Amino acid sequence: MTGRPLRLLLVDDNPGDVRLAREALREAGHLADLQAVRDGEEALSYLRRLNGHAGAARPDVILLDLNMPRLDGRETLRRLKADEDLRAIPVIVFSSSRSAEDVAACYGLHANCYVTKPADFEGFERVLQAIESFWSQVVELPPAGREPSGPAGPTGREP
Amino acid sequence: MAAFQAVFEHAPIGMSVADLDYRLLRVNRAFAGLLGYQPGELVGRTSASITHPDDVAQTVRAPRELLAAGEAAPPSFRLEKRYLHRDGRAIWAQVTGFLIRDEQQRPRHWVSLALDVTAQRRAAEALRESEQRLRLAVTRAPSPIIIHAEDGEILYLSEGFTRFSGYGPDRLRTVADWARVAYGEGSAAKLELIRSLFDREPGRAEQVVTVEHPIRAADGSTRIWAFTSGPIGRGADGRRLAISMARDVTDERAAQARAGQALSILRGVIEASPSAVFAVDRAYRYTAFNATHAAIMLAIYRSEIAVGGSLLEAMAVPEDRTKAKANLDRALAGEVVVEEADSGAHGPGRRWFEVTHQPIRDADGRVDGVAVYARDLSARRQAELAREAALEELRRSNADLERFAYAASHDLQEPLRMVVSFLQLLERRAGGCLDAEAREFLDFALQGASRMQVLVADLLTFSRAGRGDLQAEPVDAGEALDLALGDLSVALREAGGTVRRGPLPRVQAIRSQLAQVFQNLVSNALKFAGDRPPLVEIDAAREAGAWHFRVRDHGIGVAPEHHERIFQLFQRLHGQDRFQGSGIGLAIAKRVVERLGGRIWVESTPGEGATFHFTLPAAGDEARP
Repeated sequence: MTGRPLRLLLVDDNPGDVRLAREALREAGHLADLQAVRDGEEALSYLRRLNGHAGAARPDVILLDLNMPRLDGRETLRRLKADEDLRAIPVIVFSSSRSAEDVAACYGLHANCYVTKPADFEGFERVLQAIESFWSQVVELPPAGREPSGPAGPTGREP
Repeated sequence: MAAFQAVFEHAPIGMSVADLDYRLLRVNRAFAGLLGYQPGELVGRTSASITHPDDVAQTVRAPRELLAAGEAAPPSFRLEKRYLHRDGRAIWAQVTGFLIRDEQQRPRHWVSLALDVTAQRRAAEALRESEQRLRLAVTRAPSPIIIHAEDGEILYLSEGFTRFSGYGPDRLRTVADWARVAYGEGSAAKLELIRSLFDREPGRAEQVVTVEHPIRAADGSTRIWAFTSGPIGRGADGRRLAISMARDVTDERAAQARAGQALSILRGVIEASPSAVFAVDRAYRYTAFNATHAAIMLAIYRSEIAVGGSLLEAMAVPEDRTKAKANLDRALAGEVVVEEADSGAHGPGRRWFEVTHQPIRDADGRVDGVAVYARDLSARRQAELAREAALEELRRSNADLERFAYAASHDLQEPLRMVVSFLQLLERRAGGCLDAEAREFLDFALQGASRMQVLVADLLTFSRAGRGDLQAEPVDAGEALDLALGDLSVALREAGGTVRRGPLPRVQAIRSQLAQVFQNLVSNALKFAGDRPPLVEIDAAREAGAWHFRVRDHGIGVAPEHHERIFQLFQRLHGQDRFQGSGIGLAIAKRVVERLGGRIWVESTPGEGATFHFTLPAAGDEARP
């Protein structure tokens, strides 16, 4: 537990989903810090603090949609897990697809879990609450990420 | 008188003088020499004593008869007789005896002339014997032989002639007799032909006439005789002779005619064959071909072919030529080569053939050519290609359709999720501010959107049902039913339903998909159970290579006109208010069963329940009885 609101990075090209996520968190009364980017490219820039994301905070958990323009969820997942610095951040694949192939493929790429987007708002609310409470209250997250500075390196870590 | 003495002594002809009893008084040298004596040795002997015993009687009789005739007698007698040579040989002589009379006409002496005719007699004898042998040879001959003289007389007729013709020497005196009976109306021309034999010179090969004539035998049948005829010189009496030898070739010609007919029928068959048939020699030159082959060569290669022309040169496409030569070379090496070939693949008239190359061997067994039979498979092959293309097109369009259905239903979910979620959010945040009517509208909008979500989800399920990415494997149908009933346990309890099941077999299927079929059929039975507590009976029976499953209920049943319709997508027989559902359960069951190689159908009478039947292939690992 961090003692501060959980930092969530939602990677999704659909503004409706982003808004639903915000509203669901708001309805639940939790103050999780939700940042949103539109696709995989932007997600990687955000995480690496490039291209106007210099001040971005390292998220505790990433919510990753699968079907996106430019860099889709699968490829983004592959790059995240290939990145020595970023691979420790838990990734929740968050997709409307229920296909067994998608589920299997994502776990094969080392997704930490796979959650299907609920079909209505009530379901959305339940799922977001569950995510928030699980990752902020149940699990022990990896030690906090680097401060917003230069390239990856063990020396940059907080104690 | 002295001159007469000298003539007597030195005459080259034998002369003797004898008394009336034919005792020799004088003989000349020629006479004594004829018999191997000195003239003095014969004086005093009688003529009879130097005569061959067989001729003594006539030797004695001839002079006596002449003497007895008195003055009316001729002055001489003549006879041919045999003397006995001193060494015992018979010497033929022509003897003329003159009776010498005195002035008073009284007989006094015999003066005889003896001409040695032994050589002539021997020649005549030999001729007679030779003629005898010829007669024998001709008359005994087993084949027809006839020898006739220039005046038409038939001299010899062979036994073979009689045997084959039925006519003997008794009925055939002349060649005219023969021409009449054998040739009937044509006899005049035939007689002229026979007569013309005498215009030819005997003994020269080119003067021999060989000709075949049909002749009419005595029994009325017609026979074919092959005559060889020619003049053979003169007979003993000086008449010119001709011989005709015949061979009865009736059976031979009939066999030849039959063989010829068979050959011509065979030729007709080959000529009319829809297969190309041809033969080439060792240099790939045509030795024969039928019309079909000629037509094909013209159609494919624009080549007009001819016997003696080269097959390879006629094949205007180099690839075809190379392949044809390779096959012919193998056949020329003694192999029977059967190949499928497509000719003119690079030209306009592509054709497919099954080509058989058969070595042709000469009398010594050496391959001196190749017979080729090319069966045209083009129609069949083109149909196959068309069918394959149609199948491929169907597969592609099916795959397209599947991808479309999947993508469409998948992509439809996203906006629907937005609609439903934000309607709910709207209801929650603004619901208090809305009047009753606005809330009702909102409810309808939400219900519609939710209903559409169910439809889209079902469509997605259907498009994924029985997708080909899983391999069918041996599955225990009982276990699949267990899975289905597990998912249905709540529904069964709520409906108070019972499932009775017989032993279920192993089938070739995919477990989750078979479970889905059972689940859809059982839930269908529960849904349409009617007023009674639902009872579902499930069993299976073996049919050839497959298992036949039955899922029977006692519910409201299905009218016959709907038996097909209920398996179609989104077909519902009842209003949403009576029975929930999108009408997809049976469509999915049908799709799964058919993808697994089975059939599904329903038998039902309304009010008496329904029995759903489906078949599935028996498991590949099933032990054979």
